[in-house]
Amino acid sequence: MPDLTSETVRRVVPLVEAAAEGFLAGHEIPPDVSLRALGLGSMGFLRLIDALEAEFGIELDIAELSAQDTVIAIAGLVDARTQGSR
Amino acid sequence: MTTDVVAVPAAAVRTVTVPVTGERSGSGPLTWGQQAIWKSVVALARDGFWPTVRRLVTVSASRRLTVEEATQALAALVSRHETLRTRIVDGDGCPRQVVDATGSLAVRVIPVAPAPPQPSALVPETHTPVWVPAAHAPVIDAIVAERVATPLEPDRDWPLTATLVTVDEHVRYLVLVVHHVALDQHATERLLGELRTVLRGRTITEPVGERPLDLAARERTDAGATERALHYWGRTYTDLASEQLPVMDPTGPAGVLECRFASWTLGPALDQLAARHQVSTAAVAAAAVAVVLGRRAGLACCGLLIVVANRFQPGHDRIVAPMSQLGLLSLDVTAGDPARPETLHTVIPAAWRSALQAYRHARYDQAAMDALLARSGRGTDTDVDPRCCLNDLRTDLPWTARPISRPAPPSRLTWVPKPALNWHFYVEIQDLSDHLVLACQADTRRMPAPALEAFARDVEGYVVGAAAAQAPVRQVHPDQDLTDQHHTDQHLREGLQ
Repeated sequence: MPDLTSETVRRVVPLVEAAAEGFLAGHEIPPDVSLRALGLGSMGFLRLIDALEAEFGIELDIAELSAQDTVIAIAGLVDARTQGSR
Repeated sequence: MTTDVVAVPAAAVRTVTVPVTGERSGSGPLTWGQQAIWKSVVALARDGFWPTVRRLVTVSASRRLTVEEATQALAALVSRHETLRTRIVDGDGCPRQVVDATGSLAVRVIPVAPAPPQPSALVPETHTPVWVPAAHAPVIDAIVAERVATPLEPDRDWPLTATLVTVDEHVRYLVLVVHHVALDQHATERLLGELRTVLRGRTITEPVGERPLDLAARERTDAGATERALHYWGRTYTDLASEQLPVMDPTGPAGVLECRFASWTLGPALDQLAARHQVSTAAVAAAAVAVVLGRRAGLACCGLLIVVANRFQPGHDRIVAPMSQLGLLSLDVTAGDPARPETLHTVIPAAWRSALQAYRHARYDQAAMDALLARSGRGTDTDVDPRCCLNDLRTDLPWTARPISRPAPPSRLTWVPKPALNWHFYVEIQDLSDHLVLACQADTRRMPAPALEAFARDVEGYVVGAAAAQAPVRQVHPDQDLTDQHHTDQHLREGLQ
């Protein structure tokens, strides 16, 4: 699991912010809180997975993403994929 | 003009033809959204029908809108949006879109006598509930019915037909019947928003969204989306029974029935459950429908086709063209039991994840999908398994979880015979402001009338019972700086997919 200061976490936060389309600012996104609890809805998750795949050049499973939906957990998923593809 | 029907002297009806000039002409393949609706067009044509979008726009008497102003507003929209200047032609067995740069729009004008605002009545033939003076409702209804009975030819005609109804020389109603190949629900609402802007004498400042010809070209470079969707659909089909809703009554009369079940408690209960589980109300509705249908059919895993709006991608919300495609939702319903409403809480989280999967894999090239369906024996050029479809039409979702009013009016059920159905079972959820309608259509040999009625009542009972079984409790992080209201709003706004 990446720590709060990891490069991946730093890159994921603005993607979440963009997926939320203005209702969440980056500083309002605690990295260990469920994005659903923060109000990210279905369309937000769909925008987020597209953005993550484009940003990191990986493929993610939406079911996996929605089940592990904190910034920290998502960064962990991303790291696992990027390391797996090396 | 069947003036007998609308009780207007034929001599009083006139047609105004207004020239239209667009930015460009062109031709090309269909977009994926156009392909999807075209598949329905072909299927319905088999039974002699054509799919329409029907809308009524009312204009205040005080606006004193002239026929000239109304026709110019319509012409401006047809000029602006290529989808309204598009014909669908056969290109060696494969449909193609042809955009005309110029042409004309023929608008009928029908005068009616003034009528007092009360009593008022709904116009049943339009797809959205609009109250009008009771004396005008049958006229508008007859105009819509007559337009629907006169199919447009997509290879010859532009898709928009408009009739202006005037009172004392001023336009009071615009009756629009549009071929569904041009617009889906989202596009229709966007177009009507622009129409209202122009009718108020204002200018549309926002640039037009991506046009279908350009979108189709872009989609042809996006093989990844189709590959991902095909993989998901193929994998998901392995969990689904080949015949989901078998024939229950082989000796019964063949036919199609629609059961329209109006509920004043279902909507607030869906909202409460959505807020409780932090999911969209569409996911809650899908969960309830899947459990009730699955248990009735004896399925462990219920499959539903759901109509997905496909508007979440950047810029897609501004596209005025059909984008909707079918998504495939598969849900394990063994934990759910309509007789024990509290079990819905167990199913909802999984239903939300399944709905996300369905939404994510609902953008694809239809020809490639049809090839997969044919290879796997799961569909034809007109049919798609599991042939059970949920179409959640709610758009104007409430911003707060509404309480269930006590006492709520009793649910109301009406029956409508239907001439044909392209599904074994089809459920539409319609929002009529203060209540929801579950419009359930079925092949009566697979779901006879008593079973159809029981389905609708069970869905209501299951959802309302689940909402009552547990009061909405939200888990919010203590450091969270946002209001519950705000979060609920976001989920509810995003309910429609």
